[in-house]
Amino acid sequence: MADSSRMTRTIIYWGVALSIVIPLLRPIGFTTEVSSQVRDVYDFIEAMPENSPVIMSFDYEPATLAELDPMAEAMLKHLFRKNARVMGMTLLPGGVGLAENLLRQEAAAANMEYGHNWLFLGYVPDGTAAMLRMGENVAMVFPTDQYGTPLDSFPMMRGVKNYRHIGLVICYSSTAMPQLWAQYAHDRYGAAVAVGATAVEAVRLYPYHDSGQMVGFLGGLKGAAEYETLIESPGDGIRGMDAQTISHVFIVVMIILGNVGYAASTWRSKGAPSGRTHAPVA
Amino acid sequence: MFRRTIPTILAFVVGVFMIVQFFVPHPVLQTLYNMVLDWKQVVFGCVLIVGTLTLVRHHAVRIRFRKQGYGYSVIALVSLFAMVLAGAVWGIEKGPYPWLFDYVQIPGQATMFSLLGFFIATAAYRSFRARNVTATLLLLSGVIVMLGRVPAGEHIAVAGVSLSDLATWILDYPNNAAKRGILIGVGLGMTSTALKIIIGIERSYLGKGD
Amino acid sequence: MHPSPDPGIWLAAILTLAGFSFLWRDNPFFKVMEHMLVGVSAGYYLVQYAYSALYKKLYVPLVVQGNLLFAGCAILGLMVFARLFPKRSWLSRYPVAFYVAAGAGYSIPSTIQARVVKQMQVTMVNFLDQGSVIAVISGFLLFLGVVTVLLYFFFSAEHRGVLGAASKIGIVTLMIGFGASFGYTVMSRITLLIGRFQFLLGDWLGFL
Repeated sequence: MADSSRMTRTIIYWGVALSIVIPLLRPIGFTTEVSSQVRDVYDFIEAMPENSPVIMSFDYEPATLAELDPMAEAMLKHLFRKNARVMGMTLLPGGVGLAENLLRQEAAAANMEYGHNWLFLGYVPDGTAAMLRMGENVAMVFPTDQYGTPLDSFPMMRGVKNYRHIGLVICYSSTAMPQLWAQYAHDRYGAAVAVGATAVEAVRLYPYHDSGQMVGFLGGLKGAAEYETLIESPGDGIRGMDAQTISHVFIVVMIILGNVGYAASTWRSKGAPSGRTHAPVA
Repeated sequence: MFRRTIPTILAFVVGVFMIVQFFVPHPVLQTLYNMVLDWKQVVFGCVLIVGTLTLVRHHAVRIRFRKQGYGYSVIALVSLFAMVLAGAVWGIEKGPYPWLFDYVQIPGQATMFSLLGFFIATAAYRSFRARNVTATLLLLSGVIVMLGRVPAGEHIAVAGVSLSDLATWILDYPNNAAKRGILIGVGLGMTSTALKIIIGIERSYLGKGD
Repeated sequence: MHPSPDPGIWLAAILTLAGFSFLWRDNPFFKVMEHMLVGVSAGYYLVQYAYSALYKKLYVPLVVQGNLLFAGCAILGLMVFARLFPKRSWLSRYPVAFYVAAGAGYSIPSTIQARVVKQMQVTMVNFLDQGSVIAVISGFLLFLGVVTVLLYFFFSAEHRGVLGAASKIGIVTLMIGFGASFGYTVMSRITLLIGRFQFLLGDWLGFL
């Protein structure tokens, strides 16, 4: 029994690995449809005036960078094309290195100057208090940028005091942080909030989009692929969609096989109690 | 009195003040409100530092008493101090501090979480069963969303409706209804817990003992 | 195949493979990687906490800008460290009480506003005014779903009769919602794996 279970597990592990590796090495080139949640974010940024100040909060850690980095990268490309003034920040300490890497990479690619077009404010502890305090005065939450320069010495911070002067707040997160941004930055101070969330978190955001508490949201790698499609700049999102598709199909096939096995074992032992919680392990 | 009663009174005063300031935007209250928010951030930062120091103590105790596998604790502490030293000596912008983050922390954390991809596949095979009507609904909804939210779903149709459209409908309506119902329920639950904290019914945050 | 010449990439690849070795079974390579990760992460966090909380949020306003209001939070912050000394650990209750109560205080009106009132408001729209028959039915199902999910969580009366039937619709709605969550969770976890394979095959081995 244990050997058979181990064997099944090994087969599934190899199946998952191959269903990812093969499409990465031999891309199929699936195209993706754009959802209304993603299009709303894109349209909002398109409609923003040139040079609008935007807060980008990289509220994620390396654990989920595979999902969130591609969408942050795509949106940064879009924002720099629109000459937005991007203020990067993070409410998680592990987000510092990720935000720095991405901001530097995209700013260099778009020839954007530090202090004029973009800024990195760094990490601040206690997310909810920071969200509320920024509604009063951003410089009180971040007296200096990440590298110790006072905030008011940057040209791009002129005329920017709180959310009233910010065109859009974008939060990338794998936690409940987007809901808190909507609750505190939008509902209390009226900031426009857009979200890039891991797929796990995105499924909880539909009510917030429906109620207008969020401009829209990007969910998981699919969200990144949709945004890359909109800005016509293929990245890791579109490149990963083939592997995502094939591995999903593999898992669905596994679920079907599991249920066929379950139905067969139930049919063989009709007298077995029906209320058990676990089917026999394969 | 100093150990439990006064902290409870402090909680009551601060909690009530933070509720009142929401409805009364007087400049004096506004100044106090901003002060509380600033203080709260510093206090939380100190709590996080203490939490990390507790981790150091945990591993130091394992090493001191030569507990089984204490060699791994040596690795953890050496890595920790190396990182702190790197940040303190070479700074946080350049040098070994961001290098260790890029080449140890990023791959390490990303790999740990990526293992869940394998585990969720085996879990789906072993436990995702159509045992009864509700379990079947859960299974069907899961499978439709899994296929409908990747490009394959746009090419597979059931009764003339593509899986992609079906997944979008599930997410926009039944899923939205379920999440909204939970959201309202959780909102009420959070509010009652917060009230309990302020009026002193819930005091577990003070810890045990005197 | 063009493997990376960067030693950092090689270190990251070795750590990734050590992490994957857990799929075979728990082993010393995995344990070394795990403890190294714990140490490096804790060290990284400790520096960030100290820099952001003690330097940027305390030293700069109090010493550089001369804002004496921050002296109070310096004292509260210091009291947190009493937690490390068992005989004086009760002192840490003051900052903890302050922190927890302040959060509870501002969350009450905001939570009611954002999670309860706003969500109830958007549920009570006229779903008959939706344009198409499918949209009207969908709108009605959304309304019915929210109401029945709430009724399912109403435990002050026995779930029989009308309440029993309503709570059954609530369960159905919840199950479809949980199914969607499961589908998205699979999507999430697989993406994380894709990220690692993209690193191994692309950044490290140069296949992509």
